[in-house]
Amino acid sequence: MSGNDGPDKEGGQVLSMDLLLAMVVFTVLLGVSANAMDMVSSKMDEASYIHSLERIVTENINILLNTPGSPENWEEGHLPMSMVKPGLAQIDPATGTVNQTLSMKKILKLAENYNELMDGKVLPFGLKSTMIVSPRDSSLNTITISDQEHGETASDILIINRIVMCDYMMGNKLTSIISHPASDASATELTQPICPHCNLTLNFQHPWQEPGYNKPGWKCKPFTITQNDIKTTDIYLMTDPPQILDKSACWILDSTQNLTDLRFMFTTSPQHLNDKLSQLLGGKESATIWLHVFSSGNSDEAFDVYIGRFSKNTPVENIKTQYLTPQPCNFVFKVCI
Amino acid sequence: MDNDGYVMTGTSFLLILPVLILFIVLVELNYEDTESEVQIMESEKILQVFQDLEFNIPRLTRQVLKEEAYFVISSKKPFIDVRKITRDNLQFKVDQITQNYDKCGLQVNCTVLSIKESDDPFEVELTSLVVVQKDNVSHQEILQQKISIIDPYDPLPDPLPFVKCNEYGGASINGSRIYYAHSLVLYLEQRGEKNGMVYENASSPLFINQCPYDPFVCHGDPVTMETLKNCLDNGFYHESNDGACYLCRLEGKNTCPHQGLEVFILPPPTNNQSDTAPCSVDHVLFGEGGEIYPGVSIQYHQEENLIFQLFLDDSHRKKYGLPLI
Repeated sequence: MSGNDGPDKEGGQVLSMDLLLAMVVFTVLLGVSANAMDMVSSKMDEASYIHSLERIVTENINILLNTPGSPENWEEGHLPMSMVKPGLAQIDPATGTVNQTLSMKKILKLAENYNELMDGKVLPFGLKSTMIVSPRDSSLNTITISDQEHGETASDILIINRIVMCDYMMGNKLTSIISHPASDASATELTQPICPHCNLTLNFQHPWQEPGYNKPGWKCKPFTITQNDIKTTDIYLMTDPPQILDKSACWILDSTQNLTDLRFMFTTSPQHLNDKLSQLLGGKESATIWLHVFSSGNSDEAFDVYIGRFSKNTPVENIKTQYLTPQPCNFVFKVCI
Repeated sequence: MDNDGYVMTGTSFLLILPVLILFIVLVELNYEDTESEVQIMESEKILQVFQDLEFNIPRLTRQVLKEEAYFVISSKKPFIDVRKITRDNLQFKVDQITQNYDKCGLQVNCTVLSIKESDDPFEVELTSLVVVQKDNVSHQEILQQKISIIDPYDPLPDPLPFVKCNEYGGASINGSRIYYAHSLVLYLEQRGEKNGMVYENASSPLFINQCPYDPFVCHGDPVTMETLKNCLDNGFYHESNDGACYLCRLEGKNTCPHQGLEVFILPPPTNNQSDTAPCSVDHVLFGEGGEIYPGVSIQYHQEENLIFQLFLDDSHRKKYGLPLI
């Protein structure tokens, strides 16, 4: 081409080596760039998907922890699980409002119907997850709501950890006598109930243990019990701590119609009260019983006394004061994305 | 001018263009993420503020009721429309709290819609509208709360005796009891009641405390009267169809159409047991002419020569499981 003289002299430049080389370089660069763009774009898509999924899961778990679900009493099983939107927050029976405590009944119901209640409602379909409620108090059992195997294809794991209060509801508190010093002594003094022993004489009399005073004395409190409670539940007296240092401490259980000075010492294990309460109740359907607790008043030896009822035949190792009041727990949720 | 160089310049620009687009997309994504994170944080903040208010409103309501009760006790003047006044006073206290949220950039508005008696006379029912807003996120809810008037650490006093006895010498507080001195006798004499003298130096409890002896018929112990005595020693209040609810007590009413409360007013122990006297229940003793009816003596305790008695009619004896006349 270079040796031709004529009208086609410049036409051969279309296929010049320079242009060819430039096109090769351009094509290579374009290819590399397209590939890089494709890779980055796909990574961004993935990151965006994972982030969006994380946000959805986090929000839904917050809703699960902060609401009672729909309907509010879904755990009672009136509706098929397919029509339930789960929530674990407990409704305060006194005020009817949601309190910041998880309900154990709802937790156990969720564990029974985990996939049906979670998939498509709390989690997008097809995600494997683990949900655990782990009490801060190591003497209490950890509750595993779900423990699904993680798929090997999972590209990311999202872990949500929240500190929650959890009401084990294994027992119901009937009454308690708290011996630790009260924050407002005057208010406590005003509202401390007058014990029916106050008019009795000698040993029968129960001098008040005034708050703030380091003197021995009695603390007495009434509670109501029914025949049904005695028949359907096991009622126990427990102390916190279980082993008390106060050697003089003792307790009496009586009623205004049957006042007694029959004193019992505290033991390290919970004391079963059904027989004693049955005697006090006699043939009546219900009665108001008084718990009287004597202590040395020494703040170093202070202890709390609880009377609680548990389901019949609850194993003794599950009779604990911690089961009568909400306990702090770690709520751990792990999901593979 | 040779224009060949533009081919390479244009090509270079084409190569850079995807990088630019990628960069713009990345910035946009990052912005969106930050926006959504901010929205989540705002949403959580709003929820926490709402829960704070939900927790604080019952405490503030009890505080307002207590202040109003002590105002009635000290001024001896009942409120005319206590529900409206309580709503306004509570609104003032709630506003003081909600104003503090302005500093955090939150617009919190809690409107107390109404306060009224509840089915349970130991509770009052409050309805309020809470609106919490931060930027574009807002939460609005109508709160309906049943608030207990029983607080073991900060009990509410009963203002009714102070209003009723105001014109007759008044009542005074000693510890956790109200002492009537001669005022209740004068009150009863003015209404033509005979045997009112037994209530000279009578007393009744100051604070509202719920009776644990439920059902009430268990007060009647045929042998020792120990349950009734312990109830009277503690000054427990009982649910009553006839007695006034707590809000109506602040208006100086002894009865009202709502489910209310009643408590025993105790004559002092005496050497001479009387047979009959006006019934020792507060809504009867504080009644007007026709509302006061007699009761027959029932002895619930004796110390040496001193007889502790109260006077009850048959309907109250039946309610508390005591022997009928």
